[in-house]
Amino acid sequence: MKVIGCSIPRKDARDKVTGRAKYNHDITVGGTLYAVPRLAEYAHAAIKNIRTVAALKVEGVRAVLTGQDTPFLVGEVLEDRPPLAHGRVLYWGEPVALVVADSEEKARLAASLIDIDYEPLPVVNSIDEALKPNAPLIHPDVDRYTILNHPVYPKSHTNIADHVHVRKGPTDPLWPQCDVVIESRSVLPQIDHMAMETRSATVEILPGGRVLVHSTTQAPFAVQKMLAHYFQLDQGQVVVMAPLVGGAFGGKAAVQLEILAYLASRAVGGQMVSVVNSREQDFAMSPVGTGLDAHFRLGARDDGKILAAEITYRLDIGAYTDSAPRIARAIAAQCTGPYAVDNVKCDVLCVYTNHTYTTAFRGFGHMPMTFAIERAIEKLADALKMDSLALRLMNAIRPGQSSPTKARLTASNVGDLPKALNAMAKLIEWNGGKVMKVGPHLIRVQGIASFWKTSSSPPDAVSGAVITMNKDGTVNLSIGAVECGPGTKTTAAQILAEKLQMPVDRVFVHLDVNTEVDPEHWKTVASLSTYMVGKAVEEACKDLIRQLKNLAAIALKCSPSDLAVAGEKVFLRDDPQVMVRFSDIAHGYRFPEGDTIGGQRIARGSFVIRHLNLLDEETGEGRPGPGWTVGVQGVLLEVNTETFDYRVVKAASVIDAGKVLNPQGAKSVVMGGMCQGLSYATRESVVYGSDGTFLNRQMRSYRTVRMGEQPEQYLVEFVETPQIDAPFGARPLGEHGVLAMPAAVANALSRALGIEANQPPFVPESLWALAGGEKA
Amino acid sequence: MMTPLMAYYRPSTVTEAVTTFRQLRQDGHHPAYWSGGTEILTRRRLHEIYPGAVVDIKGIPEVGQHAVHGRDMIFGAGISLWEIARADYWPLLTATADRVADHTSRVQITLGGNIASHLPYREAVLPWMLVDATAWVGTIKGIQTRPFCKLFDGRLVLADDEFLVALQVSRDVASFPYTSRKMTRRDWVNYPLVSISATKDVHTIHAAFSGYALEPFRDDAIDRVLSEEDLPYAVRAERAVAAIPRKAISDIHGSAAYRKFVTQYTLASIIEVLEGGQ
Ligand SMILES: Cc1cc2nc3c(=O)[nH]c(=O)nc-3n(C[C@H](O)[C@H](O)[C@H](O)COP(=O)(O)OP(=O)(O)OC[C@H]3O[C@@H](n4cnc5c(N)ncnc54)[C@H](O)[C@@H]3O)c2cc1C
Repeated sequence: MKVIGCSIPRKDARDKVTGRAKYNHDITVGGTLYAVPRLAEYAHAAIKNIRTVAALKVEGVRAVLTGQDTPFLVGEVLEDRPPLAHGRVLYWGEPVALVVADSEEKARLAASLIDIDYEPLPVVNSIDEALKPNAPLIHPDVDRYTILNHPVYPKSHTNIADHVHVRKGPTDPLWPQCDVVIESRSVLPQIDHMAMETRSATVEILPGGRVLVHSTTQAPFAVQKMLAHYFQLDQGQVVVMAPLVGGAFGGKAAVQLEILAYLASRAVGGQMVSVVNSREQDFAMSPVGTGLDAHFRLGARDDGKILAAEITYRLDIGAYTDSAPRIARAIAAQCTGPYAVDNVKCDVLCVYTNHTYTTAFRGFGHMPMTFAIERAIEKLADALKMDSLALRLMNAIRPGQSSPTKARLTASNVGDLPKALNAMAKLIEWNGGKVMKVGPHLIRVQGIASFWKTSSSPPDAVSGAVITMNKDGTVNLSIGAVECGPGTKTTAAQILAEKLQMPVDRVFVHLDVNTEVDPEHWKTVASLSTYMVGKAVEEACKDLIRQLKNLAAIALKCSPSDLAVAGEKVFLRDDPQVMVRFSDIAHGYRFPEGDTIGGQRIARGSFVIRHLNLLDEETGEGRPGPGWTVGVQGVLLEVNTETFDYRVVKAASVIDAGKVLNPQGAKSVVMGGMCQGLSYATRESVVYGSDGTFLNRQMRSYRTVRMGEQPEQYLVEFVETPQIDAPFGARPLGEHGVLAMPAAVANALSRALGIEANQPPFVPESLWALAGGEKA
Repeated sequence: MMTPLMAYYRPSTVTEAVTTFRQLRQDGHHPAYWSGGTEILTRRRLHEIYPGAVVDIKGIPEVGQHAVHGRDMIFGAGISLWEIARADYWPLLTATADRVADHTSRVQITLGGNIASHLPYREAVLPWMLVDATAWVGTIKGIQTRPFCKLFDGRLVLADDEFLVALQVSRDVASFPYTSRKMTRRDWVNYPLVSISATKDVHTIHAAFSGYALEPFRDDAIDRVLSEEDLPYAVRAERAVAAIPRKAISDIHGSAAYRKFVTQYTLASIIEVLEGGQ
């Protein structure tokens, strides 16, 4: 029986396509109260006075909370964020007050009636403004904040929340030996996750002390720990339930609404209270994806070998840190892209601005990072007059070399980039990026870009799996990873079915997550679920097989080592007709006389990643993840040189998947990522007004790719270089489809129009402006 | 997701509607005429308006008419833009209406609501600015007719308690050569950087513009330049943009300079299409 490598339909597919699957806010319980926040209408201002009298008079209003009722700071790494603004508001859309009422309508009405006096303060509206010598300080006390999770190095009296260093190679740099040196700057805006399902959380504090939380979270166990930590509870008291999540992309790994809902519930005697983001709130109040301003200096020999890199990444993290220090370290650890460079100096800065704060975003910083790297590589290829694919091939990172933070790369832990590059050349019929004329003002041009990524998870991240057997021999699987789209639960079932050699439709996975009954999975982020959950499931399968054999051995009067398991039977290796069915032993074995031994088969597996460490403060040295997925992406664009309009004809990806567990599943997750990446390249960005107002907080003005605007063709291929320690050799794949798409588009546009397209999104106007605009 | 509650009335005659409106106004309810309702709802959500009551005009038979009558075509103000495009009585109106918003909204957005919109676009008005049309207006005395050109000057000019009932135009306009182009920042569905409806009678090109300035406009001087048949398309387009008497706007969709650039190449292509047959 073969399950791995087959296109297994997703366990959640039928319920989802028929609209029957239930998401967090689909089930409402009568009597639930609603909490609605009042958002700041200034990006930076002192709160002079808050009058809640009118709001409290609205019929049905139960409580109104302000920053004074929440005198503590929260944060995933650095505790710098008040749940409700304290004294000052630091971004447009920050929650300032919270109204709890019988209904959402009443709470909204009351929230609009809260009267707030502000004294506007100078707004820090960009990274450059934040780093100016006399810039207003967004967090004057940044060095006095509590650090919840090391490391983070805030700089006092600046807007720098964190600074990560990477120093590799000779202190006496190799620049003099370089024949060609290029510099390149890329600037990427903040972007929104734009999940179809906006964030929501419901909290109820029971008289017995238990706290029930229902949330649209990718990180139910992090929610549990945060609430326990901030409200002095035992972790077991906090029960977090995470049903199917309607798109997350990193945005639901941050803990925000859960804290507000807890505070709201506490204010009304523990009654059940829901906080449900409107789309505008989801945009402006809840965290978005980081912006980036990157500067590259690359030096190479004239044969193309890159000798030295000096890189600065400055992240627009917005008003609070959340997971930015982790993202900064992820960028630092992969700062050169998948290329071998012996002499690296890289600085990553987390810069506070008066923008919406930021959090993880599909790729954990690697998409903007990859953009900057691949634009620099392309510029280097131009300067060297080399085919850019050949330049990538020549410098592609290989086993035996080391990462920028000196992690050793082996034939197992890093994918095969040269192979992927060659496969891409065939797949899009690479012509070196030459411009092809196809009409009076129409040209076609290709662009490619490579990427790599590792997990950058904390070194103590855990995952577990529990298998229980039903009487009829079917099995139930319980894991702590949330299903937010990529088919995590199905993959886990597939691994179990393969290990037990049983049909995957006889494996039932718990689709929701409940921290009280499901074993912990650190967070459903970093594309790590297949690896971590998979390892735990493998362990649990070993345990179950051992238990099944032990019981069957008694029934069959033989030694467990005589037995094998397949097809829901345990049988003698040398004589399979001598066997017991799973259904005979799932709930104990009953002898013909009636007496029974053994009980229900319950198996467990548990996993923690080994050999990871935190990066060294001065050199960055350290091992950031268990393995690196590599890949190449390409596009064929058709560009109108008169109007600067363009369309994506083809989009292609070749990724080293290690082993493709579910071909159709893998292809669709990559295609989805490609579409998202093209959306960033071609239209998405958060737009702030000159006063820091979040201008496009609706889908009318924050544009994404819509149906009919996709490429004519998506091409997805995989190469397979197994990661030996991973389940069936599979490498992480979940986020990667997005990573190099914007860079590939920029590389193609730059060639097509003879410009440096370094600042997405690329709308015709930006190309027109780069090509001379008004002056042309 | 609603803010304060809002009373709803659905009269079945014009006089009843206006009477109801006046009464509500007098009682301090800040009423609004409700057609497709999409703008009232979305502006209310953002706390831009607080109508305490709405008077839905779609129950009035004249507001719901949509037909070819003898020599005329008549379009009720309550007909959705989607329905207008589906019936396709007037190809230029179809082309323009069909590009407003996304399908989900377009089945709700009405001709009257679009023309009376507070947003600067009002794209479905463009064809009407190019022809001699008659407007039916709902007043306290019942339905009155007025020339449409007297009623629309960038925005609908009506007394506070009046509303648009229907628009009427000769069937002949349906056979004029026409072009409609909607140019956006990037997307198929979006507000226009510039949206242009154009027709040609014997020798003259008439063009009306939305999105370019703070309200829709047309101008004889622009039409004259566009119609100078001896000049190349590109030259006419360039001169036409120079002749536009309005200031191009800059907003999150595009800068003023870029709007001009887009308007220019779009006009060149419109002239080419309209004169292509000759
Ligand atoms: C998603 C979306 C996308 C959009 N895209 C576009 C676009 O691309 N181009 C474009 O031009 N517009 C666009 N619009 C705007 C839309 O056309 C206007 O908001 C329009 O007003 C909606 O029509 P409605 O019938 O729903 O209006 P309603 O909400 O019913 O009314 C709008 C206003 O007009 C008044 N009104 C309604 N009917 C009449 C009448 N018969 N007489 C007098 N006053 C009246 C109302 O009192 C109210 O003030 C878009 C709107 C949405 C929601």
